[in-house]
Amino acid sequence: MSRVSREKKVWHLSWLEAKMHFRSQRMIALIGLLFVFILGGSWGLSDSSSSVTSELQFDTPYEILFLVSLFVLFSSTLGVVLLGFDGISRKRLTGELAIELSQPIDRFDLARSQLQGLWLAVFIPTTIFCAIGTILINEQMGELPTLYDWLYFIIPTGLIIFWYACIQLLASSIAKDLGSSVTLGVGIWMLFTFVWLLLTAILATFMGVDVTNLESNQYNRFSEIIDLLSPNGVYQLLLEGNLKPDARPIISQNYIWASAILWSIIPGMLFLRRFRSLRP
Amino acid sequence: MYNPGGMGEGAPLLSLSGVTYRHRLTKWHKPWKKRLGAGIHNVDLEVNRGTILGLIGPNGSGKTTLLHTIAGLNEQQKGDVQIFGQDREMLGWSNSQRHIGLMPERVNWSGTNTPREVLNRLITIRGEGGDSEKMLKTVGMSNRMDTPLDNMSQGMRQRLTLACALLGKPDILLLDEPLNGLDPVAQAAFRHLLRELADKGVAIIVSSHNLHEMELFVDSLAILHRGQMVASGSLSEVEKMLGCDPYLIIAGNGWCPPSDNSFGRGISIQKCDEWAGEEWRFTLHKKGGWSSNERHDILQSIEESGGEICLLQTVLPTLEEMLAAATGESVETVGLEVGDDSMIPLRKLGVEEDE
Repeated sequence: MSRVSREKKVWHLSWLEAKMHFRSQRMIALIGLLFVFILGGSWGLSDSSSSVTSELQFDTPYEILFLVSLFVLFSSTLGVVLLGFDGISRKRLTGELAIELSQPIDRFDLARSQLQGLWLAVFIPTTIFCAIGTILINEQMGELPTLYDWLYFIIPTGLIIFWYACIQLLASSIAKDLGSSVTLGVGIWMLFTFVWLLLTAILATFMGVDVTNLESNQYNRFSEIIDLLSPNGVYQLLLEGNLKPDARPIISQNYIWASAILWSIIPGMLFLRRFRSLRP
Repeated sequence: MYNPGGMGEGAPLLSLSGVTYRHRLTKWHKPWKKRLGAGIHNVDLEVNRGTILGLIGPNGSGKTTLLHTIAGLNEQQKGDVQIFGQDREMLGWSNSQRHIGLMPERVNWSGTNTPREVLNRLITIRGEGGDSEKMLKTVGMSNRMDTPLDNMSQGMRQRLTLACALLGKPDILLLDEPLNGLDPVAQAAFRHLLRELADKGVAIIVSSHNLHEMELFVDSLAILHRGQMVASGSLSEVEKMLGCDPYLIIAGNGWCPPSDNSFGRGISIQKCDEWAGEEWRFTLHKKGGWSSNERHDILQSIEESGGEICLLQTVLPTLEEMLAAATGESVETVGLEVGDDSMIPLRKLGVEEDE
């Protein structure tokens, strides 16, 4: 089979996988989350009569999109957890995995189709809602973000969804039952979404960094370094790279992009490697 | 049937020699420390074209592990698997799977997808084309092609699993407890379908723990116990190999054969509880089984003595009896013991545990 037809087959399978997710009941929950978080956020944050805090001023569409990214972090990544936490374990429990693994296909291709399918299932609706959100921002501010700015927002968004898809499928392939799948899936999401800040503060205390002043350069630098180890942190740092110069991260952009590349490779490779040795 | 380059002409379609696969077990707190658990040990097996082989054994005997190893889901740790007389590694792992269809045990299909979509997806995975509608018609699901999986009965799910196994017209069909969940009518239709496939040259391996179910349609038997092949061959060969002969049940009225007497040399007689309409019932055992002449002689002997026969039945040994004969354990205990993690190979066969 030629390289092109092999790629075509993998993408076709990914689309079928995504279609299965689109029709699942969980997708209704995801759509609800995206509607409330992304559209609500875009509309509310771009309203000139309201301000998030008295200190912060956001006056360009990209800066609003940057703020909306916080809601993307909650809704889209939770969506990946909802759709993907039992992606492998459910098939293992029902016996469908044995049928799929007994088919004449390279396991690498099959694993990729699962991964890409989950990614597409969350990325497509996220992109649609972000596009609608951008229109809402235009309604409120009378200004659209430039294409560059919009792509600068949507590409890291695609990346973080991909990272979570890798992590969730890896966790699902490790879990042997539904309970473990839920625990691992939600646990990982909570670690990066809620617990990370606390973890950063604890580590900073141990390292002798002053945590009483969260605006200090020393703490900011430390938290940015620790954030490189979290997908959410890397996502935020990537987006901050397109803000005004005084709002950009202290650490070098090279580190942030290197971290993004590593996050794109390591969990994915771990999942593909795990899938190769998977037993039904 | 596909036979790449006519290779292995005359060779068995599937041949296993000394195949060993033992599951690797870990504890959650020590994932790096792996030990070998139950599985299959030193299995030899040959299956020819057009043969239906019944793979039987009690729970935990290694039937599913053996089927998964043949299907390429488990890579054997020792031994060779040959397809068309060619080593599986040489044939290519993925290519060898093209010749094999697997029907796992009790697949609990669920979701909003339909059987047609499931098959279309598998056809895409296989990348070789196919007609999902035709396949669903073959397994009697022409009216349920677009029923969501969540709304299907267990019998329908079994049929769908069979349709999945039949995709790509495999030369070797592996069926794990296929009759589970099927009603008697569907079971008969299923057996008929298997015979049709075998007549077309497909080699079929059917696993079950029910010997009587198997007797109805298999050509040969392989008995697995604690991961080892205890015996294989035709039913009569297996019985002979294990020294486990069929026996006669004879019941009647009037003159009653004395229970301490034998009808002839080598025949032992044992009284049983009578059923309604009978005055007496016996089982007759003889080494080497029963010929029709011997059965006739017994009938004649009873009738000449004034007895009236109302039942004369040849009873095949049960799986439990065969396993008891193979292992030296009693019929009462042999079925209760499920193979444990250490998978102690049968002492009778003189095999040492390797790890």
